[in-house]
Amino acid sequence: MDVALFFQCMINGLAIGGIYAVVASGFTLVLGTMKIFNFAQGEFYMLGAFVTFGVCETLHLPYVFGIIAALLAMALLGVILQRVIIRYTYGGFFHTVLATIAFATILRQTAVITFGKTDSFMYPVVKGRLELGEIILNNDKLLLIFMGIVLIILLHYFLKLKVGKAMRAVTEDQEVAGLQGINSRRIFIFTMALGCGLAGIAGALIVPVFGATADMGHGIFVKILLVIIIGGMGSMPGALLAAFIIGLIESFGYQLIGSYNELALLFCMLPILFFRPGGLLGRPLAIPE
Amino acid sequence: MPLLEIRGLTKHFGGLAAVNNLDMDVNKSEILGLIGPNGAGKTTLFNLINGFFPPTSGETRFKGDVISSLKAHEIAKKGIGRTFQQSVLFMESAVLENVFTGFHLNYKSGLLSQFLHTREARKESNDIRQKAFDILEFLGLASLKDELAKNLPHGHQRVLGVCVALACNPELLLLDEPVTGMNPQETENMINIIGQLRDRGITIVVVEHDMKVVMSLCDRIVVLNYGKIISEGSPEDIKGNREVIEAYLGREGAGANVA
Amino acid sequence: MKAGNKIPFMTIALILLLLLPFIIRSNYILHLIIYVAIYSILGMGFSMMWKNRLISCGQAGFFAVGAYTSTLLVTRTDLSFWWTLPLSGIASAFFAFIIFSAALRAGPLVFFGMSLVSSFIIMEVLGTVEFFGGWEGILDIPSASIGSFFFYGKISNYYFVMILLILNIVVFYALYKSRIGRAWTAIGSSVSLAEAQGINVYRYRLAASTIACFFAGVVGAFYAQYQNLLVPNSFSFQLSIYVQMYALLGGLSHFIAGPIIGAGIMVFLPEYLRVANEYQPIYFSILIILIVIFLPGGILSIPQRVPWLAGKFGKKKEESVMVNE
Ligand SMILES: Nc1ncnc2c1ncn2[C@@H]1O[C@H](COP(=O)(O)OP(=O)(O)OP(=O)(O)O)[C@@H](O)[C@H]1O
Ligand SMILES: [Mg+2]
Repeated sequence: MDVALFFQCMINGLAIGGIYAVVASGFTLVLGTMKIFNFAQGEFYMLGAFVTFGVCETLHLPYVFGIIAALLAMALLGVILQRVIIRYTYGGFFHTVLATIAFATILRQTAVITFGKTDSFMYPVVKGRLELGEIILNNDKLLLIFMGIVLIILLHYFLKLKVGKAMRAVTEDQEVAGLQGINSRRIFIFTMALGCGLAGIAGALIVPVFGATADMGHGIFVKILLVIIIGGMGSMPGALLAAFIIGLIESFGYQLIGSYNELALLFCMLPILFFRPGGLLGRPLAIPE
Repeated sequence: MPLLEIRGLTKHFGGLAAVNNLDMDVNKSEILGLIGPNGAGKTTLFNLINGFFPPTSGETRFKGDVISSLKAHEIAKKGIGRTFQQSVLFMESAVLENVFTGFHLNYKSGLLSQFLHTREARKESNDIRQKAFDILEFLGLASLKDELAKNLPHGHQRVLGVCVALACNPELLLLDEPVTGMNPQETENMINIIGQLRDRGITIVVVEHDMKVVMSLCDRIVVLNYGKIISEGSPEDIKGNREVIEAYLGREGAGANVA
Repeated sequence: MKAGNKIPFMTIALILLLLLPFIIRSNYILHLIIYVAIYSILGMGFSMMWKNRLISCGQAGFFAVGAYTSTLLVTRTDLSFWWTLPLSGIASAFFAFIIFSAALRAGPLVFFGMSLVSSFIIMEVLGTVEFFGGWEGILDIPSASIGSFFFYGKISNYYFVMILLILNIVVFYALYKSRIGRAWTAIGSSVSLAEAQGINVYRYRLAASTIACFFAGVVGAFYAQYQNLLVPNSFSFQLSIYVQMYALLGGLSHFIAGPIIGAGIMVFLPEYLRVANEYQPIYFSILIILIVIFLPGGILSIPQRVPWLAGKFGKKKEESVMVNE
């Protein structure tokens, strides 16, 4: 593998990793705070991409509006999912999971019927590439990495604010949080909105690079599942670390062993799980009763 | 040699030392009372002894063998049984079924013959079912054997908890607040039961807030606070100990049910 | 219920199953029944894990491992199909064992995640790797044969799959009634109490998932020779969810009857409603949401929910929990 190819893989890996990191942190937020295993996270990502595409390509608005629209639309959809469906599932963890799976299926199948299964809808934002000698870096991917990192940093500081503290208090003990004057219902709604909104933003970011595809939601959901398992459920730094590791393994793996890379990924992850059952930076999380 | 030796046992939850460098012995065939205010670390100590939590440091020995590195199911096999502070039972199963399931460790026949339901396996199952019934009879639940555990009144659930714990033939039995929430009659019954178990040679450690029960039942009492032993001795010694009274009054105010 | 009461009922049911192809005489309905049987076996595997409070989102993946193992062995070597039938089960069980022995160390939530991740990766690999035939799949898979008799038609395959189904039921029933099954029930009811009674929760859960995947693999081999073609996309996540849905619809606390009833309803219902293929996942999903909200105990819980039925059937249930052996 020569230097140029190496950097190519590196950039691809970081770009994918950044996307995983953003979607996964939204997922972890919801799982940690509300104990909801939101299967629709991947579909929110997919829909976010389509919203952005629609806003930019059809309405001819600037890309920034596309991102904001994706954030708001998915936040709203997440809250609807929580208030209209999840709230009414009494059967326990499995029943709630099934409800979100069903919701995800409805979103996905509707998108497949509307947009076709594998048609890609792309909206390029930046063109050109950076050439450093042999090394060629595509600007759009660099932008994606940059945006991913900015988002993660923003999220990090955001969670240090008062809202973030309230979210942690609710995570630990709803009753105690209630005594401190925190309205946990409002925190739940906010968490759901933020978690799903992050998926929407990630979708918006992917539109200029790979485009929006109706069946891309499930694939990314599986990957972020792997990310949070390996990173340690409920651990935000763990999720970020795992997201980039998995992104890099995928991109280098694809270059080195072609289509066996997914299998290689699985078997790389098993020893980690075996020797560190809590993931890289977490501890085993129990299924909520 | 004491039946159970605890040396330097420590358990941290985050910054909190729930059990802090604890040394304690349990002698064979005694009833040891473990008391202390809420949050003193009594349940955590049980969880450490029976292997639900790995200790942060320190060790426990049972009949001379180190058990603090073992898993809960291995410790059960060594002969330590326990009950829970909340009634933890196989709620959807019938009473007899609960005890029967508890006999998991007593099977001699292999898994294959179990699976094929050979004559021996069936006979063994029936023997064990009989043994389960004997335990129910001994503790006075035989007439309720077909009732679902979740439908039992609270007092009976606590007794059933003891029955299930007895099913793994424990030499040491850890009882976490066995009479909490019971009426005087049920309490009386439970005290009798615990006495009879000791007469059968089972060593018992009992956590209890009801001082009358502790005083009348135990041979020896250990008082915990903030994960440490603050006092230890016969019921008479403990009754007159200022530190103990303060530990209770200091945490719980005048309303505590201290004798 | 004494075992004696069950025997006449069982005999009648068996005779009925035996005569069914001659009563129905419709190839199409037989085809649907074969599918019911396949889904029932997958669903019972799901239920066996659920008995341990493990949620598998990956039955389709282990089904695929069985199907591909058999097919590759039959087409690339001259191994007889009848050898590959148990081998597919073993391959699938082995795969499950490796993955779940790691995942179960971290507990049920990671089990849940890894079952989905691994079945997704299985499908990706089957689709992208040349060796497995790619996304177009493998065509012209020979049917099973005994001597010069080939399992071409619906009737022979009906009997074949029924034997598998009955075998599966018998084995699962024997397991549930044994000490192993009692340990599983204990784990499902309270993990801490089970551990305190000396049950090795990790090992019993691993055993349940390995056994369940063994049968998924075996029925996969049957499926391959019945369809005569394999396409990776037919082993998608959707199938795993349908399997869960059958078990849920029938009733999650009925580990054998639940999946069979659920599969029976869900295979036949859409056929009679003539739902377009494209819209089927949407309708199914809406149905899942409705069940989850309004009937979380599944169809078999209806007798307990309706007061006058509970008097008749509700009692029986409690008895049968007690008197086995
Ligand atoms: N799993 C756990 N995780 C974190 N902290 C815990 C855990 N279990 C117990 N603790 C903490 O350890 C301390 C001791 O708790 P423990 O349950 O052992 O007290 P206890 O003496 O049994 O009290 P009580 O009389 O109320 O039953 C408490 O402060 C409790 O909050
Ligand atoms: Mg306690």
